[in-house]
Amino acid sequence: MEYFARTQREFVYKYVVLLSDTDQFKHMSFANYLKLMFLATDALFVCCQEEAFLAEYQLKLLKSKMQFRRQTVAGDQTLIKINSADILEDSFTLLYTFIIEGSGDLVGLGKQSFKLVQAVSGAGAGLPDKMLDLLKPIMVDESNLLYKY
Amino acid sequence: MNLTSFISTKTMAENNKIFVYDKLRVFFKHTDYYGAVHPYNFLEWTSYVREAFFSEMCGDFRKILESPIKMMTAKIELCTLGNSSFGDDIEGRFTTAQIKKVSFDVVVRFYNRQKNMVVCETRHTLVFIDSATQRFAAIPDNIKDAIVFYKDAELEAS
Repeated sequence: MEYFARTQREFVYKYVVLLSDTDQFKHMSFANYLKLMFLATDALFVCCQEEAFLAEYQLKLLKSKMQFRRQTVAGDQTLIKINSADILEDSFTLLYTFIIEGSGDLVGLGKQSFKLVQAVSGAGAGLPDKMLDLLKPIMVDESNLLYKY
Repeated sequence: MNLTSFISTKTMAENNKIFVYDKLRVFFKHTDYYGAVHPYNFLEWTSYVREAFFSEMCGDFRKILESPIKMMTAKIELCTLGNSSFGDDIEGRFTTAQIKKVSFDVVVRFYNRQKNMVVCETRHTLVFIDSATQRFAAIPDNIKDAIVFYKDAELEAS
């Protein structure tokens, strides 16, 4: 774990759980954790969101999964760490580790696979350099990780 | 065999019923930059479908909510299979799988009536916890008695 922490880069998105995120059971409902995955993904690719890029490409979600280990309540400062895996010609996978800042308690593990397509034709599009420049520095070999996503 | 007759057949089988929640419609807030429904909405709708099932099919569901037995989502998967757009009517088709002592899976297939196809499928595992002891608890009888009739025929066959 120490080796992983010192050598592996990751993209980190921070979110403080708000009262409006929680339900009558006083914790955040499962759909909101998935929403956070989409928010964190948008934050990762914020430089790929100008009109010209969006007119040419569409990032399509193929599959999304998440497993939950711990509930969060209003005020919890949640860190969503993102790594990439399986980077191919027109597709890639993102791995999401949700932890509570400070305590390091694991909240959940997420995994989403995406395909980049041409916005007009829907045909697969090669990943442009501006995406690869974001994905490659945070790439991991999933089989070497402590957690199974 | 078209999908409608397929469902009718399934509904007739005593243990392979499908619960259909047909109050979903795509509004602007559900769409993304490209005019397609953002996948997140299917996760939110999954909770609508399952809670509609529990409310309608599990007797006094409010009584279960007031008990110490709490329901937790342990994991969830979503597969996108097609696009939906503004104005489309979506049915959430609820079935169950992997019914065990303290957990079961909920499968929701989202059928787009205008496009005549399943556009998304979610599957999540629910576990029951006794909040007093923080230990796993058996699925409440009201819920177990209902879900056994909705075992997913496709998953059972595979």
